[in-house]
Amino acid sequence: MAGLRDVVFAPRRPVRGVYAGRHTSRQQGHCVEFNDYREYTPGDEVGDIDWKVFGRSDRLYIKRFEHQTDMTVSLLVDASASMRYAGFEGESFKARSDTWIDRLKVMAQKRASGVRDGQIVNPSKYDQACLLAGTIAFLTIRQQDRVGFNVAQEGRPAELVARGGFVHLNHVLDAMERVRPGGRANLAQTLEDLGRRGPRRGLTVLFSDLLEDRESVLHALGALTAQGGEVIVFHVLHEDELRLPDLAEAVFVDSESGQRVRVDVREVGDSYREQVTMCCDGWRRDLSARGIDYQQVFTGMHTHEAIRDYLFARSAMR
Amino acid sequence: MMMNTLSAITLTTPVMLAGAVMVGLPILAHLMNRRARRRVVFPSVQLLIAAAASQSSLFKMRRWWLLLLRCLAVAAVVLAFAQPTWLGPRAEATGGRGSAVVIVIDRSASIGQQYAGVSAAHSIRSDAVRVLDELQPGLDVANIVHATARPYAAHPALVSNVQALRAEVDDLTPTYERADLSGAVALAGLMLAQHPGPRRLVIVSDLQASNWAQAIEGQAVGDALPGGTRVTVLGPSQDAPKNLGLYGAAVSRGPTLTGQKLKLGVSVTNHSDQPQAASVGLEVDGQRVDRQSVQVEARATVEAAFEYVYDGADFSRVAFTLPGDGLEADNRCYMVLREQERAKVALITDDDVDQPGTSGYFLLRALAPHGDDRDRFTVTRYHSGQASWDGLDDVSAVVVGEIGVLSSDNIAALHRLMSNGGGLIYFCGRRAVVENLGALDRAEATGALPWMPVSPKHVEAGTTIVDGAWRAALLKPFDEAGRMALADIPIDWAWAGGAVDKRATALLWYADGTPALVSRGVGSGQMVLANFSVDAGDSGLGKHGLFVALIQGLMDEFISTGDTPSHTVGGLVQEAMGRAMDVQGAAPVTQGPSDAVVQNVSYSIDTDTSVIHLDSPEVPGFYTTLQDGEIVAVVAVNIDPRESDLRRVSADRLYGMFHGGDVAIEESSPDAAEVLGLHGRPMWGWLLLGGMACLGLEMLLLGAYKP
Repeated sequence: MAGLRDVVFAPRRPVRGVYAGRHTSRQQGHCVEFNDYREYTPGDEVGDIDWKVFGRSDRLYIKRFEHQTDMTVSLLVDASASMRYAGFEGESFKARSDTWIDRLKVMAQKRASGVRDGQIVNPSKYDQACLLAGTIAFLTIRQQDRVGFNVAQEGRPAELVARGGFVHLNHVLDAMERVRPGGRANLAQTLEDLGRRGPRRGLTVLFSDLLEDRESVLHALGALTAQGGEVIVFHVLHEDELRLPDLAEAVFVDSESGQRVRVDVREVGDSYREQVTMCCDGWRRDLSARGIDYQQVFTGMHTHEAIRDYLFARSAMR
Repeated sequence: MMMNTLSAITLTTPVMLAGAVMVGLPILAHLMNRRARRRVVFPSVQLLIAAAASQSSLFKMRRWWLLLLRCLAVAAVVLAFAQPTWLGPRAEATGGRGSAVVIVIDRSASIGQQYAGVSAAHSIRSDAVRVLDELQPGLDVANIVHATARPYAAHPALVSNVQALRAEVDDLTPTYERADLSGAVALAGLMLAQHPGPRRLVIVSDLQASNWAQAIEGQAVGDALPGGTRVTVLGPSQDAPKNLGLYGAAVSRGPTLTGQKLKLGVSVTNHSDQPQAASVGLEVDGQRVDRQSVQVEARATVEAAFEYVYDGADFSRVAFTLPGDGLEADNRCYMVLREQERAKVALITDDDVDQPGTSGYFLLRALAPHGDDRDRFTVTRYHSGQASWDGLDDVSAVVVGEIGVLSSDNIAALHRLMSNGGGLIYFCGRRAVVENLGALDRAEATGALPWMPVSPKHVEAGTTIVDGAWRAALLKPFDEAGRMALADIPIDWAWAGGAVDKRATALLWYADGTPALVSRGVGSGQMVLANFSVDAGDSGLGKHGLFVALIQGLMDEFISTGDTPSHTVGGLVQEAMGRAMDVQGAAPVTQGPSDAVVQNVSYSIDTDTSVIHLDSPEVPGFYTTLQDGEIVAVVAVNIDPRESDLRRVSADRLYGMFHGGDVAIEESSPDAAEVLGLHGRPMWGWLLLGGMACLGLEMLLLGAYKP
């Protein structure tokens, strides 16, 4: 985390908070930063009248100050079966009995797995999403803001409401470890639930491979932004999803629907890459049109670098 | 249709079909591969499905194509090991029965020809072996008919022992005979008729046109074959080589008498389309005597003649030779010289033959210049009253000079002489010419005179014979110098007369057109009328050597040269022996050209003449008969001169001779792998190629061409 000690995770929009904080809010408060004057109307706090102005102009004016509040960040991690993908060797081992030579290869790869130099070796997409979410949670709590954690998995209830403090951060991380990716995400439903339960002007960060119905997801995300909230989408992908595994011919089984297709990888490789590029560009275009940040993240990327790169790019957009 | 196709295929080693179980290997591999195919649980399968929609339908069926190709490849290899052969339409015809094959092999002298460095005999052997190799041992039967002068079969009947037939072919050499090809085909037909199954006749020949001509003109060759026989003729495809041939060795001039200068001649024929020069050699008793070069135009014949003085040796063996060319067998031509009995000539004259200047004096010395054994003729002098048949019955020619009126006996004797082939030269002198010639003319119903003298002609002093039919055989002694010399000799006495008989030939004539020498055939003989006298008072002719040459030349036409007859290989030789056999002596023995004793020979004695009968001599050359160590006969045998013409007969003419019968022609190329097609065409090469093609297609489907 040393690489992120100077990093501040701040919203681009004014947020609505509960407590005083460091983030700009549309709320008027009693901060030290003067904002504006306006004429007194009945009902205003008498204490807010600027008596010095009344003395000079014999008119009652209310002195307005900016209100800085804390920020609520809702982390939503896709825990569908497709997020479990960590490369075809591992998956193929789980999916079927293979030849002994393939087994040896997988075992050797598994032995080589683990945490090395602070980085998980051969992480799944869910692992990468949790690493990113945990990092953002740490940054958020370190800057005295609150973090909530939810998992998009069909049938799974909401996890943790937003709170601050490193004790809560531990709870978030524990919740991440408890979750085992599987089933469908039903991302749109989860986002709608989050919009109903979460803060109206909070920051929602979604980590997903976006293998969902695009229209419903965009609709749910649009509802969040319509409430004044800010949404950031981390599109988590495995390298294999960009360029297919190095195979001649294989039967590909959909991790969620179980649908199968037999292809010659070398023959369909170019066509597949076009499809992936079109898909990613489509998400980037649709989300940007709704004021939602879109960031592509690969499982092989270093987490801190991915966060820092995104935040630098975000600050440039501010 | 399918069953017909399959029935046309036979397997050489069907046991190898057991390997067909290996077709299960690709199926097993396919099933295992299907089970072991990688399955990858993947997140974005929907995108993959969208991308896979662009895959070709070929790929979607690829594994089935691969399975099919692999099975085909294995099946093709297994079938190839079973060695299938395609029998084609013949499979139905044979019906599984063996075929009878008779090979007629041309063994005439002409197959000794050399073309493109290979002898025709070698090609014929190769073709015959090629045919024998196609026979299926134990199933097919065959025989070989040797087409010689008297065709014969290698075995009395069709045999299945191919090895024995091959040994027969391996020993095949050209003969010196002329082949009786129609006889050989007829013999083959008899053999084929014994076989109930399919019959094949294969004729292996050098396709010599002159040899096939007799068979083609016979038009009955096809009828000699049993119905349904398939005929194939194999022959060289190259053009016939250039060839010069020798034939007709003979003594062309002079009786064969000791010390006589003979002219030995031989005909040289150019059997090619370009002129050729040849060096003809003369060997006598094995010693080279002379050599001369001749130029022979295309398809023409010239005579090479050698002057040779006969030394009187009995049975001189004369051989004419040519250097090597397309056919070696016709480069030697043989003849035998035997001392001939001196021919008898009668001189009828009333002159004193010892009185110089008379016509009798000149005529006697022209006939016998030496007056001893060196003369070519034995001359008997008769007066006009003595010339009866008793004295003339053994003479070859009669010369009549100045005589009185002949009696009817004399006229009858002279007429009989001419009728029996003798010659008569009548010199028209001053006495009884019209009477004697008129009587002779009347003796023959159609007349005997070539020209009838009527009255003495008024001849100016110094008239000469100015012209002649110099190409006539009777005037052969006259060369250009002789003609000029003859024109300078004054003639002072001649006869005038009518026209020359239309059956006669004027040989010499005077300036006014009056004939000087006229010839006409009478019976088997000939009469020559000389319209001049050689008396010194009538002409200066008798004093010239030219007259001697004229008389000797005329005698050559009347008298046999005495050359021995020439016989051909393969024929029946009958010839009178040079010496009479001693019936009390030891049995005679005849040796062939290689000094080996000849078996097929017999001897007979007809009155006082011993005759040798040699049946089908096989080799050209000299056959010598000995009795008690003494040579009693030498016979010269040559090859048939028609063998020298090596031109090939066209395929159309050749096959045309079979059209009369119920036969089918199977034309075969000299380069064809099979002649009979009994084994069918091997298919294993194609099957292996098909298997490799399947594997190649498999690699193509697997994308092996991609880097």
